[in-house]
Order: sequence, then C-alpha cells, then structure tokens
Amino acid sequence: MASWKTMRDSDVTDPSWFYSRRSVIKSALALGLSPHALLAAELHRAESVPETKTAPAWLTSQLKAAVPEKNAARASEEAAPFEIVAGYNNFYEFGTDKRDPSEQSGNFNPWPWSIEVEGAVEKRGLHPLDSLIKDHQIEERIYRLRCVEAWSMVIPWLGVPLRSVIEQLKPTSDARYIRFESVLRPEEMPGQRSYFGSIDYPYIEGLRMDEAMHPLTFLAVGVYGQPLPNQNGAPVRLVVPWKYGFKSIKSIAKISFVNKQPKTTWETTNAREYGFYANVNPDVSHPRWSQASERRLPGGFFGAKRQPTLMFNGYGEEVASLYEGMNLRRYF
Amino acid sequence: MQRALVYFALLFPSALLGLGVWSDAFRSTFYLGADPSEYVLETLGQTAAILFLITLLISPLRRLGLISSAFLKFRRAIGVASFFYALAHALLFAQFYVGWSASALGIELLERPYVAVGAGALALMSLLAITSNNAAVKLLAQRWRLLHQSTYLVAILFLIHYLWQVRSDYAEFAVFLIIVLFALGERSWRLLRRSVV
Repeated sequence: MASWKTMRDSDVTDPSWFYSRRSVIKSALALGLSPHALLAAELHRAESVPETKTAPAWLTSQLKAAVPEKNAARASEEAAPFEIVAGYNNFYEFGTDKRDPSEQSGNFNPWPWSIEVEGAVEKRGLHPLDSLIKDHQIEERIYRLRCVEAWSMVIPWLGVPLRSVIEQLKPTSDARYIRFESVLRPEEMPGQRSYFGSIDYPYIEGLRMDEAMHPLTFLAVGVYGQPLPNQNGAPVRLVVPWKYGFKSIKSIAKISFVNKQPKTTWETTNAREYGFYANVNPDVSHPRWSQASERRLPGGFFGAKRQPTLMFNGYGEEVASLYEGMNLRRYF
Repeated sequence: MQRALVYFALLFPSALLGLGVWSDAFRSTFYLGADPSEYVLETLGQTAAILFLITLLISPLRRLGLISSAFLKFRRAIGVASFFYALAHALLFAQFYVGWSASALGIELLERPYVAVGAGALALMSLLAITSNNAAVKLLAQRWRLLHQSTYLVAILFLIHYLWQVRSDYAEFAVFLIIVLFALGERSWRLLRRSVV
C-alpha cells in the first residue's frame, strides 16, 4: 500500500529550486546538517509567484502547514517548473489552445466555493469547501500527469486523499460510482460560450467507487505551495495519476454518488476515442495517435524528450489489482 | 518595393519561429512554450494553410473586383512559399514523430488517415511547386492549366487533413471551409455560366 511512497524525494527536486536554496544549504552544512535532510523537509514552492489574491485565509494557512510527500515520481524525473504547470493547460472551458487557460481565466473568481453533494450519501447538500478540507492534513503529492495527447509532466500537487472526503460524506451501500461535475459559468468561462465547440458543458467525469477510494486518488487544492491557479482547476480538482489527464476533472462543483456508470463528457463527445476508464495504456492506441510513448515536458526543441509510456502511467503496482480480469482493450 | 514587401511577409513567420527556437535554446526564454516541437510543427502547418488559402482567394476576389490585379503577380511566390512551409511541417513530423524510420512512417500512414491525406496533399503541392516557373508553363502549355486546377484538390485534401485532427473546436475549420467553398463555388459558377452561354 505504501509503495508509491518508496521513491526518493531527491529524484524530483527542481534544479532551479535547488540552486536558489543553495545558500541555505551551505549554511545548513555549516551547522552539520545534511542537505538531503533539509531538502526532504521542504515543499516544492513556486518562486516569485503572486499568491492568488482572492484565496481565503483558511486555505493559504492550511497549505503552509502541508506535509511534503516522500515521493511518487520515478528516479531521474524532475518536476516541471511552475511556469509550465500553470502555462500549458488543457481546460477547454477557457479555450482550446494550451495558452488559453492561463490567458483567458482572469475573470473566473472561484471564491467562495461550495460543492453540492447528492445521491446515495448521508451528508447530502451544499458543502462549503473549507468544511470538506479543513479537517484533513494537506499533503504534497508529486505525480506524473499523462495527457491523452501523448505528453506528460511531473507536478507537485497539494491536497487531500479523495478517500478521506468520501468517508466524511458517508456514502450508502447504493453508491457504486461517483459522478463529478465541473462548474458552469459561461459568463466567466469563454470556452463555454463558444459556438463551434462540440462539448456540452458542464464537464462530467466519473470513477468507480473502488477507484475513488484508492489511496492514490487525490483531491488537489494547491500546486507548488500555493492555491490552485484558475487555469489548473481552481479551487478544487481531482488528480487520478494512473488515468489520462482528462479524467482529473477541474473546478468541481458537484459530486453525485450513483449506482450506474456515469456518462462522461469525452465519451459523449467521441465514444470511439475516449472511454470511461481511460487508464494510461501504451498498448491501446488512440485512433489518431500512438500511446506507446510520450513527450515529457518541458521539452527543448532540439532533443525533445520522448520516452516510453508505462502501463497505468507507472502506478501499476498500486492499481493493477483494480482491473484484474478486465479486458483493458475493450474497457479503454 | 512591392516585391520586397511581399517576400519579407512570406519569410517573416519562418524568421520568427527561427528566432524563437534560437532564443529558447540559447537564451533560456520560453517563447515557444512547454512543447516547442509541437508548437513549431503546428505553426508551420498553419502558415502553409493560410498562404495556400490566400493563393486560392486571389483569382476570385480579383474577378469580383474586390482586389487589384497587382496581386496576381505574387500568387506564384505565395504558392511556392506555402509549399515550403508545408514541406518543413512534414520534415518536422518525420523528425519528431516518425524518427525517420520507414516502418514507423508506414504505421502512421496506415493507422492515421489524416497523415496519409496530408502526405497526399504535399505530394500534389510539390508537383505544383516544381512547375511554378515560366519554363514549365511554356513546356506544358495547355496541360499546365489542367495540372494547376488540382489546387482545388489540394484544398479538399487539406480540409480533410485538418478536420480529422479536430478534437472538439470546429471554429478554425469553419473559417477554412468557408474560404474553400467560396473559391470553389466562384470557380464552378464561372465554368457553369461559360458552358451555358
């Protein structure tokens, strides 16, 4: 169960971060501390990034108290710099170009935020976000994110395991799936106003209950030491590291506990290309491109880093048992 | 002067991309974003498409009296430039997605029809580019006109190549489609009217 925690934290240290802390480390050395120990005790933090002005105090203070994770990413993997994590996004609600979400999400104000909870669950109703988060310890999770478009990056998320929030809400035995719904605010989200888009908003995603309860499944409220920027799915998003990125729904407004497999947005838009499970799988190609390898970002123009894609995005040891006996070619 | 301006405009996108590649590589800027090879690939393709659509529009717009016939003398240069951008687009694809492997190319062509359609459009464009000189016009005489009518076939192949890559946003495709339909419609209408009269 703890095997995603077995990789070394030093493997993902962003070098720019490392060098900026070099003077601190030098003084630590002078005090007889090992630099390794010092690094392990600190979170990945973005440098010179303005704190999100509107984020409430409970969130910023809880993020400050986050515990750094003893990491998930594999050896020699390096977290993408903050500018990339917050500057290269697929969030079609703000436009379909990778730069659109960072450039066109300025009018979106997530605060105050509540999540509507409905269906087969005891604590139905409108829950302010703080009531769902503040009783849990914020953790840092450094996960690989593999986009269905065959690129990937390593991202230091901050949040809580989805499991702990689900347990707090007390689903009944009828709850076999969870259906997630993103916020619908066409007046703040230009992509939702587009006449030429084939997506019906709000965006819908779903997980099987056992997937949702898996310890790797994460509810992120921050990244790189600060609240989630709008373009990354503020104020709260899902992170399911063994599935293609589109499963990790952003700006969650509604959670329904249901007994039938929910119909997700991408299945509705193009069922031939996007399935409910969307587990990262190098052996099942997307009809329009191969999934056997991926471009690790940020990549240079010369020598773009192409690397083989791993089954379940490298989290097979933890999650393969969820799909035992299932035909993954059929349930893609 | 006019000529210099047109050539400058045609070279400008490639100069900008080159500058971006150079600056990101040696001055650690981030002009091309997180995925520069993809960005350059897409931008080259888009530039080729836009230049190509301009060549397609020149004749009908002139016939409708919307632009001066001065534009006609630049059509060849714009068309050849469009071909070079499309060629660079294909070469980058070969470099970053196929790795110059014949078997990988075979798989791409077979499994991903938009690649095959794009390759077809480029093959046709190269014929047009090779024959875009006065000697070829003279040599091929009547057949030159016929050959260069296949510009409209390139247009259709390009539309399919683009459409098959759209994931959900059809806005740009709609613009391209309207332009091609307009050029094709104007042309057919003229041919039709001539055969009736």
